[in-house]
Amino acid sequence: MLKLGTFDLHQLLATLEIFFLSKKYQLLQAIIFFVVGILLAKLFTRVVVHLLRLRLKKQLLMVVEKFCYYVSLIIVIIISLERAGLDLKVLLGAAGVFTVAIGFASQTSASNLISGLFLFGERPFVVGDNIEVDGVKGEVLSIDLLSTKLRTFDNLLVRIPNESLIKSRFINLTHFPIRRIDLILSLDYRENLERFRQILLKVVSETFLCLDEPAPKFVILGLAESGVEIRFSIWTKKENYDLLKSLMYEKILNMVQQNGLLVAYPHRVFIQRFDDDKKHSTHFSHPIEPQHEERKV
Amino acid sequence: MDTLIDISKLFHNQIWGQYSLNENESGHWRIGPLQIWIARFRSEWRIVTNSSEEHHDTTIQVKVPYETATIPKRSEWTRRYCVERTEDKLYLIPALADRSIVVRPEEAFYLPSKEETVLFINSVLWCKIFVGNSQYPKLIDTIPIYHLSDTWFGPSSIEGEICYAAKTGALQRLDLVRLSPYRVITKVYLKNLADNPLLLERIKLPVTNLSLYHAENGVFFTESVVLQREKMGQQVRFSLGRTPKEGGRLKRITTAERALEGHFVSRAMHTLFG
Repeated sequence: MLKLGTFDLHQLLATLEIFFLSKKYQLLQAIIFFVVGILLAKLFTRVVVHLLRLRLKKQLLMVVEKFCYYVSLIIVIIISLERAGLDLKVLLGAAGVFTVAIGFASQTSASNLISGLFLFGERPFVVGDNIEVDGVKGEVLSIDLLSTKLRTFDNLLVRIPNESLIKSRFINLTHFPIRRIDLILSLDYRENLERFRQILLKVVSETFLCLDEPAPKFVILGLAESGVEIRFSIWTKKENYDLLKSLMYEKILNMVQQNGLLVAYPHRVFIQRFDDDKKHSTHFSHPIEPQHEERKV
Repeated sequence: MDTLIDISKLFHNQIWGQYSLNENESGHWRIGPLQIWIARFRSEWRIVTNSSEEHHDTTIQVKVPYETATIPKRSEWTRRYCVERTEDKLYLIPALADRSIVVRPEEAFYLPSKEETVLFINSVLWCKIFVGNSQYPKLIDTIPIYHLSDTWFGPSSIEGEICYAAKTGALQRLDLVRLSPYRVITKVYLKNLADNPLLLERIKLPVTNLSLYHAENGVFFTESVVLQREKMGQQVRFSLGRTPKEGGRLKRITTAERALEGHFVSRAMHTLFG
């Protein structure tokens, strides 16, 4: 006899055998199987994830986790239903009838599911990447079977159906290790372009977040109404993009003020011109100061 | 590899090596552009660092003990390390950079077909701070003597790696190299076996594959490096040579972070030449 204190284990096992083989308590058995089955399914999933966590990437591990859990759950449900006395052949027969209805109803879900599989295969982004979809920017939290979830930078959860992702254009902001920052600047026409370029290059050389290579580029975009439009492009590591963009504008502003440079801004200069008899006057305005003698108003 | 205690004995009369600080005592070290203040408390090591832009500053100064109250109190320069109980031994040990370094020759040049040349690359050291009395003291901080800016090395913006950009150029003569106790010299043999000239504008030096050596005159060297452009043109062979004879008798300080067995051949020239 195997005793655990005053408890007889043999007797317990015998009682359990009678209970589970008896047809009297089928519903109760089914419920017990279901509850225990769910716990075992979760345990099984955790064990699988634990064993594979070092071998698989985060994204694929999530897929394996969900696959293991749902497959286990289906098995548990089938066993529980069988335990409850349900004839599964009848169920399968009925399933055939429901398949058509379910098929129509789940078109979207099936499409999302298949789109999800394509996303896994194509891997345009992975968990942890920052992407922009339809104007929404965020970090990819998970790529699930039916949808992809983003966390926006102001901490909102966005759920995007995989079908929408496959069909739409999205931007992966962190796919490549480095990014280019385009700073759009305007310089007053009265200023020296070369001097401004040197000042910008000096700012870059003093900023460690800027990469030496690819080298910064100074490009004149055009001659606008109030000044010269310039695009100054610098490169940085992807994680420093936002920080450096703000920092560069701040530093350029400081340098411009320290060096007394004139930055272009929309403005009007009104000039009043007097005719010979000083009776009539002509007013006109233009953005650039006149060179000849006229009285500025 | 020798213990830190053995390595420290090499640096007689230099800034590197072993120091002792009593509780509530501090020290000040100036290694060229870098200033380090280290204060020891009962359960805390406080390290304050400041690096200037004077990359050619060769000032070396040690003041131990130092007036703790005069240590700068700027929070952005300060790092605190809390332990159960501090011990009196402290080590300042030189180390190589943790990433590859991209170097430019003084002026870009062509290496003709079937020709070879030698360049001397002078790069900055890092300072590792160890504490503790045991045979294996603990590393608590690693500081570059001066900040190197980041740069991208690769054929395009999507293929390559982030490296450091060296502030000094590669030179063909060792006597032109500015020696200092916080720089390390690497002798690079460049060979072009291909049928067309090789334009050299930038070279990536995989520093993490190199070991650090110390000469009796206080100069640091690594083993020499051989970069050979293969006959096929796009392949480059990278291998390690012996320590340069210009260094005389050298003693190894640290081994390579990523040891290289023999050599590696890159199928793309752009991984080492830019």
